[in-house]
Amino acid sequence: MEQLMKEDSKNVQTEYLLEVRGLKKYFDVSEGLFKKRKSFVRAVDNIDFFVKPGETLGIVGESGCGKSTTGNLIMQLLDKTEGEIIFEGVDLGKLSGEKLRRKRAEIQMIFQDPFSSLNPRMRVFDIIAEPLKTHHVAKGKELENQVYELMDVVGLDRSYARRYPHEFSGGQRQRIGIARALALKPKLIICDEPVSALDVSIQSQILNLMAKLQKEFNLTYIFIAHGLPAVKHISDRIAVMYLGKIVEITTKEKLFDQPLHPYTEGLLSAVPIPDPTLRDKKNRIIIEGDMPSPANPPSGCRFHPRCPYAQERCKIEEPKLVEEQQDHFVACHFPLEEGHGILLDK
Amino acid sequence: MTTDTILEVKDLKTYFYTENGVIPSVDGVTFDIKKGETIAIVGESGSGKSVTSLSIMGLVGSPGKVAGGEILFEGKDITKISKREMRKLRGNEIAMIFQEPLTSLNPLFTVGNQISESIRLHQKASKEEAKKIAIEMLKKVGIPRAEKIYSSHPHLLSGGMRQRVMIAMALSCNPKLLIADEPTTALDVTIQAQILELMRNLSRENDTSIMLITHDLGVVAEMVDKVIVMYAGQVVEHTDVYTLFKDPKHPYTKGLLDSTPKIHELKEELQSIEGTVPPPGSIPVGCRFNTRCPYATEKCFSETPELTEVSPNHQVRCWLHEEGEVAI
Repeated sequence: MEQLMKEDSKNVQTEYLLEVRGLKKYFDVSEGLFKKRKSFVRAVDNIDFFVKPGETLGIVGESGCGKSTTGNLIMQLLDKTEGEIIFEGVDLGKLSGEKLRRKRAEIQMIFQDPFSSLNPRMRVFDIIAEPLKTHHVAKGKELENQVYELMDVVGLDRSYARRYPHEFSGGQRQRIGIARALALKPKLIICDEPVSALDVSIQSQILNLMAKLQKEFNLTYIFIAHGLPAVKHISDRIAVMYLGKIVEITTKEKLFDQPLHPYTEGLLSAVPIPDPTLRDKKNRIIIEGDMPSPANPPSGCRFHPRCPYAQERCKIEEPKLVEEQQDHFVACHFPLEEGHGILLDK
Repeated sequence: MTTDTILEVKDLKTYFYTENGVIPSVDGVTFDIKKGETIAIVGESGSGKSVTSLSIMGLVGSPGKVAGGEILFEGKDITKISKREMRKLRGNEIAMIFQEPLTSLNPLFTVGNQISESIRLHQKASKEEAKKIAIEMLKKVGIPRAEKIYSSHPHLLSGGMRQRVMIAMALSCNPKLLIADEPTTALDVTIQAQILELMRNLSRENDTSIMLITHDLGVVAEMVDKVIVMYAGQVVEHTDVYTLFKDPKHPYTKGLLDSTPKIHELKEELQSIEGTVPPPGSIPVGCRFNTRCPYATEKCFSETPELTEVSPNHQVRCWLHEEGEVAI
């Protein structure tokens, strides 16, 4: 009963907007004759994190690290294997039916590919209006007004309302996607690689727009990307994922200045710096090898086969995510004492 | 022409003849590459950078064709030679690697089969010799268990491995010029670092010239000697990499640099260039950048600027610099 009252009251005061506890997602893979042999791909394997209201949490990692799966799990697009996703104090896994639908409207998503995430047979107006209709927010003249207002907010000319998605460039399509995500006045927006498919000059337009909207509507973002530059620009805190695990999570400043995890250090070092005068001064750490398959992750610390500092213990014992310094969590038996960051103007 | 110039592109025009009229994808591009030099062609989608490289490789397909200009490879105009001669050159003297290594490898043949094919074709090697050279190349590009990978099919390899195979294939005949079209765009950043390091070492060891086509100014800053910035089919700025980053002259170049996130600075401001690249076929009169340029004057909308030298080895196509130095 208490739980129910909490859900319905609009002013739940928790420290975190979203809290993820022990989240796991294993995908079944069947192999062999008659698909008898079963194995699992551990896409997300026991992760914990929280997001405070109004902040942006970046999630970075390379392909196959589980960052997009994490986004889809929070969005309830995938069923979790285990764990809790607590949004405004309510475990979304315990909700169903109308209650889940209502709660879910407060979490929206912006997708990577603005070319395939918009229905090609719907006009811009209908794309933006769809969530408003589905959730019975507005109709008739009021619906029209709301759609046009959303178009203004994201910088789309009202005269484009009757056009189809293919008539737009990538950047403009992403604006349509953002308008649609904003329609239901969500609290949390999960942005899955929102700028990766765009040209540099357009990327910055979209990033600046997102920052503006965040202030204007007091939004909270989870910004998922493989590109560190974009993540750094928009995030307050950043989580680094590797093979289904969070290996490090801290504020942007700490992560870029003094990473504690060897993978983070290598990841930072791998990013090309747009300044030719630094090319020879740069402390280049190249991580050898490829990411192993998540179906068959290495024993102990999952990064140990590629880690330049790996020791015997790393092969056997899996490190836990611990608060090594204040607000600085790392999953490593031997956190770096002098990790090489890449900030020059600290 | 000096002897150490490997490639000279003069006033190259590649047009596409479509039902909706002629589309000038590359419109009067001029540059050269010296032996051992790495240059970058930078620009956004639709700038004509990829069509420029395909023109050099003689791979522009119908309805497009090289409509004017010269491409001199070691002094010989390769736009005028027969298809047969071009085939001899391509893959042998000039090699190319593409953005998506999965689609550029034939899924039906083993990796080894595909690498040794070009070695046998161009070097007249026997099957066994070709295999030996191919395995050596695979080892050279850092592929572990090269013998096993030699007999694997492409789908079994990761993206980074496939790109290494592409590089091994491209370098198997010791080309004088390697054209790399967005070679690392589809790869993860740690793998990108590996591939870039590999390309740097190979060009240093073999004195191979590299023409890198990219939109990533970070990669440009780390890799190249000279930069050509393209916009809507034309070169808008052309200079060495240090000058370009320190003292960009064209408003478009400046816009690109300002909108590139500075990963090494905490307090950065991200600026953007308003609008988008005009679609080919609706190119504005006057300067092609005028619709997006914050400094555009009346003249920019009526008269077309030429690529002019503002200081030694620094060319810009912009009316602002007509009478010497202007701060932008």
